[in-house]
Amino acid sequence: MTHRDDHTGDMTTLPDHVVALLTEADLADDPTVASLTVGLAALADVEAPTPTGELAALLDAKVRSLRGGGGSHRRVVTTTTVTIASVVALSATTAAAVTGVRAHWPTVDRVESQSVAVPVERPLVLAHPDVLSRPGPADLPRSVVSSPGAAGSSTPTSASGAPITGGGGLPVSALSASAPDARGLVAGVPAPAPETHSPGTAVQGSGPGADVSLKASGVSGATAESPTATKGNTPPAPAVPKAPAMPAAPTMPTTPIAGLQGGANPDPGAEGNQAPKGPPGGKGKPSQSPASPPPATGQNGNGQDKGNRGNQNSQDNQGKAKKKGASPLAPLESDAPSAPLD
Amino acid sequence: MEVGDVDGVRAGDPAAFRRVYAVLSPLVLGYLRAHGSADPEALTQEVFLTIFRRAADLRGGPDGLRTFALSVAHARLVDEWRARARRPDIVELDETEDPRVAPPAEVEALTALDSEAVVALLGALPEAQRSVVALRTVAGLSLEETADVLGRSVGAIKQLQRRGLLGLRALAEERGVTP
Repeated sequence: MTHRDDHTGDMTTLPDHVVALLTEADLADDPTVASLTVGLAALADVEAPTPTGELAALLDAKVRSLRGGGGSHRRVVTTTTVTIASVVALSATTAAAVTGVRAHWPTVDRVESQSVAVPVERPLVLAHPDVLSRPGPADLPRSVVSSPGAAGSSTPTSASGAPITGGGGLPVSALSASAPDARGLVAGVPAPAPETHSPGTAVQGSGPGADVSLKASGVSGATAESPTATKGNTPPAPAVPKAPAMPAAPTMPTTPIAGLQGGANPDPGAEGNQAPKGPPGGKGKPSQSPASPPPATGQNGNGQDKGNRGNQNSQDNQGKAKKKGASPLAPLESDAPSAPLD
Repeated sequence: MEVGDVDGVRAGDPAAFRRVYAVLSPLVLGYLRAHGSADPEALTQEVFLTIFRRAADLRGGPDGLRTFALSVAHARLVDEWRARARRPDIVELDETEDPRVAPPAEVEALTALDSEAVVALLGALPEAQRSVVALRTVAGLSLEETADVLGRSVGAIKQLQRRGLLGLRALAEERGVTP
């Protein structure tokens, strides 16, 4: 079958598949349909498109084989490699985590030992001759009478000499630095509940900018910290010479220390069983409270309000420490500077 | 393309790949162009990548491979239609291609019955008729092969191809594209 070319007018032979199509459709005699089908068939008379990318690599034999269905061998290898790498990375991460935890435990033990050993220095302050010679510093809240420069000074300073500017946000270490002379100023004030002497509440009621020196003067300090002790029973504080500035006591937890001091520390004014050995002033003589405990050494209940049970608490605390797996006694004995006390 | 080429494709022979690609890619490209594919060249390469990856599962001779190639091409084309339906292309209005504007006589004479004009007429047909006519004319498939590609019966293909050809003639006469 032939048909006339539209542009040249020449008669050309139709492709076989077009002839078959026209025959099947009973349109073999229709020149318009024949021209249309020839025009459509011309769409396939083109060069093969230039392959690019993965297809070009395939046709250039750069890829060995694509057999294996949807996933080629290369993909399988890649997936396997990624899987192995993931497993290795996960194992390494887990091992590092476990190693890190194990390595962390000795550090924790060491820190616990230090936390036990540090507060032992506090009896040093109480055992100072100046402190022991003054009446009744035992019941005074430690955190209030902490400034060595509080006596006769309107601006107390911390143990390091830095002025204390107020209660709000005041470093606890500065407040807890023991100052014998400051204690003497407020001697005889019954100790409040031990809970109120936590580092955070020691300066409650005195906001930022409050004058801490008033508390240290022996009057306002008592009213601020212990209202029950201000009923005229606070004797005027005797003039006490300034004691040499003591180093600031670290603000480490003191809970396990008070009991330990009772048994191991020879501090006379520390706990109940050691109190009789100390000077009379260490007992808090001017205190109105008959049940006034011996001089407090710590801010915890074991040290202040239950000083007569120091041995028992000491044993309890030792027992607790042993239960925890720590050994606080060794660092206590080694770190306790008992020589100056004697 | 010979039977040996199909066997070479099954065996992963790159030379067979090249021969098969040289023979079948124009058909696939023409079929995709007849349907107005947005990027027929890229789609053609995707088709042959699929073919070569599944070469081990091929059955039949050269005719079977050609049918399989057009089946993959049609499937990719349908995917493109669906994607285009989800996000239609936005093109600027070109007055020269606006069918409401009558083209100049010289332009009409130059474009009469060329491939682009026929493709434009073909695009006006329903999708089923367009596919049948394109497969029969561009790809050169038989009735049975066309029925296999489109998943229809031979009788249905016969009716569709006749309606399609008559529709093309009507459109050509309507638009003045006559030989």
